Amino acid sequence: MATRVTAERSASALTEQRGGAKPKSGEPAISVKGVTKTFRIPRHRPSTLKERVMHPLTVIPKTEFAAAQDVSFDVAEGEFFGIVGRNGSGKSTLLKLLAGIYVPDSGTVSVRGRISPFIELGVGFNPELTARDNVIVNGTLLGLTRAEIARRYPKILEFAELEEFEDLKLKNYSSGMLVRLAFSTAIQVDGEVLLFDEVLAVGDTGFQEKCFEEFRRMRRDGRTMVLVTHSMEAVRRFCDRAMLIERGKVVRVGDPDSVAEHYREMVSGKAEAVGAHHDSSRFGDNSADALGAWVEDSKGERRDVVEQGERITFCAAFEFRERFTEPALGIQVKGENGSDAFAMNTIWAERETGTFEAGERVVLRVAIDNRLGVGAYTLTPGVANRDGTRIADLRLNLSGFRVDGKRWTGAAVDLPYELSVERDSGGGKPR
Amino acid sequence: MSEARRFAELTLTLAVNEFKLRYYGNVLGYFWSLAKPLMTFAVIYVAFTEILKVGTSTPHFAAMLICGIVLFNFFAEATGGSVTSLVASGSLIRKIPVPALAIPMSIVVQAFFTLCLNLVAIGIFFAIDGVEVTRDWLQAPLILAGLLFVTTAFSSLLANLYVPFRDTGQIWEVLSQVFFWGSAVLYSIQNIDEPLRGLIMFNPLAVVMVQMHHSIIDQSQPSALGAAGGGHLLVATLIVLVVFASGALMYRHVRPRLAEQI
Repeated sequence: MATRVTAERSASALTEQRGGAKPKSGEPAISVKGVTKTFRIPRHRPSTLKERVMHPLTVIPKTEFAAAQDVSFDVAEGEFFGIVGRNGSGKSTLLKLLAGIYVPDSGTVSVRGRISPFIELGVGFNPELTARDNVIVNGTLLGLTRAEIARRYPKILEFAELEEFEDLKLKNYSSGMLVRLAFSTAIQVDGEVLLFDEVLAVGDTGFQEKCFEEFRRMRRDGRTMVLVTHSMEAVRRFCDRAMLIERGKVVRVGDPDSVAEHYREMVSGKAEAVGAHHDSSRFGDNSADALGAWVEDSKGERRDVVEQGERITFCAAFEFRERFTEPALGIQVKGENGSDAFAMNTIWAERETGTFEAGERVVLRVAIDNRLGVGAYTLTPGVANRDGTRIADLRLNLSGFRVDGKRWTGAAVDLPYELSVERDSGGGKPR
Repeated sequence: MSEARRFAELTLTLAVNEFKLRYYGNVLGYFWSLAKPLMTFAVIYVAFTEILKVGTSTPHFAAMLICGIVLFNFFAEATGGSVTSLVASGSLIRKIPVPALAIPMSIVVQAFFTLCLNLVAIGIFFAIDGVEVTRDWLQAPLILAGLLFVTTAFSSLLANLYVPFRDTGQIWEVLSQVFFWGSAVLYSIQNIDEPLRGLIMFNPLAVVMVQMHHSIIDQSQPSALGAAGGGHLLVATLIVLVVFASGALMYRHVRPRLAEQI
């Protein structure tokens, strides 16, 4: 929680720069035209030469996954461009396409100038080597020459505040020191185009300030920046323009406010909802039907949007097609990425349900104090036999609802907490 | 920075670091790097001269043996290390735009550093064995360059083949054995009769060894040209070029999907 607070404070420091940089020339710094990228995941692995020789004509079955579909956009020189989307929407793939890590199946990606990738910090770091050796490897991987690294090495150490520890092997560094070293090296690449994958919040507060100061300088210099993020707050504060993608397709490109709003609506399931709801599927032996699932507030009214902290009730209605003794009834609440946020049923609650005749209906109600994190959720109602071994009807992601609150944390739950920040007087030494 | 320079710098940096990891902060590091070829030498020497009693007829057998073992050791270490190198470096390739071939190449370079260190050991053996320094020693860098090229060609092909075909490692282990016995490491080519001799001289590695025997150790040994004739040398050269070209083609094929396949 402490990092979150500081991240917000530091983030605001960049706000004043927004819209400051103007394109210098007509030509875009980044131009992406009709880019498609499909991942093919072989169903069985690893394939071998032996297999190929023995069965030369066999086609290994592959699952295809389109991470980018006919994506086109330009980023002007000096522009701060945001790419947003849900988990698995293809935004990180897009960043890797820009960086040249992935090669598109079709279409073109052109980037003018040297790229500074902030996709992963400290690539190639080896714990057995000293800071110096690691900076050389990491810097070379990032595209610096050995001469450039030698020249900038003192600056890197100074920026990372690690002058005293340069001969220490990295395995003796604390995680904070590692991040500082990695970040300081990455900054030295000094490319014309910077690519970020949500790494803005690094290190302690003091160091973060320095990083933001460095970004501000780069922005003043007219560097082009691309940021991939979940955070609408970051988009609104930093970006000149933003792009929303979903399932590898561009949904919208425009000013940050409208894109952030579109994203919020999309996540809540109001806009042309793509995602969890539509994956709805159903199984069971049809001896009973799950009719519906919904959320009610404390007054018993149905709600699509509920507030954090209020008392809410998850409801599910079932109808039996034949005589049913002691049915087990349950509801699962799933988050955006399909993971279970909360699940409950009559078996765990050790609640007897009784016997139902064909055509009879029942409603299951579960009330909670809403501690779910801000975001979109789906409800999966299910009915099964007494011990839950035979499913009568299970309807995945049958309906959805959204939780609103003060802030989006990206976490499944938002529990009450007490926070303390204490200065560690013995600090500064490596662990 | 030009692509070629970036490639060269990256290769060198990775090689130097791997080398440091192996030998630095480890007083015995260098001696360990010597121990492997020396042990192999000792075992084979005793087996050949004392048990099988076959090496005694060849002059400078000890010098030829240690020389062959060190050179082959380089080839085996470089190619063996390269096979899995691209896949093992997934954490780099998936996260940073990097000329991937620099990774197997850095392994070749690192093995070459070790070879250079081991040359000292060869020198000591040569002195003990009474090998004369001649003007032909000037050929040594050329022969080593040839060996380096052969090794580079094989390493690059193997590293790229391993990406789609994960049994390349096992296959190469077996083939390495064939190379070991078929590369005039353990014997002088003049003790081998046709047609086996001709067959061996198609092997580029054997060409390197035989020429080394002739120019560096004992001029009475046949040269690569003398051992089998120009036709064989041409074929051996073609084999290396084909391996090299296959490696390059394979890389072009593998490269677009490299980051997602490993």
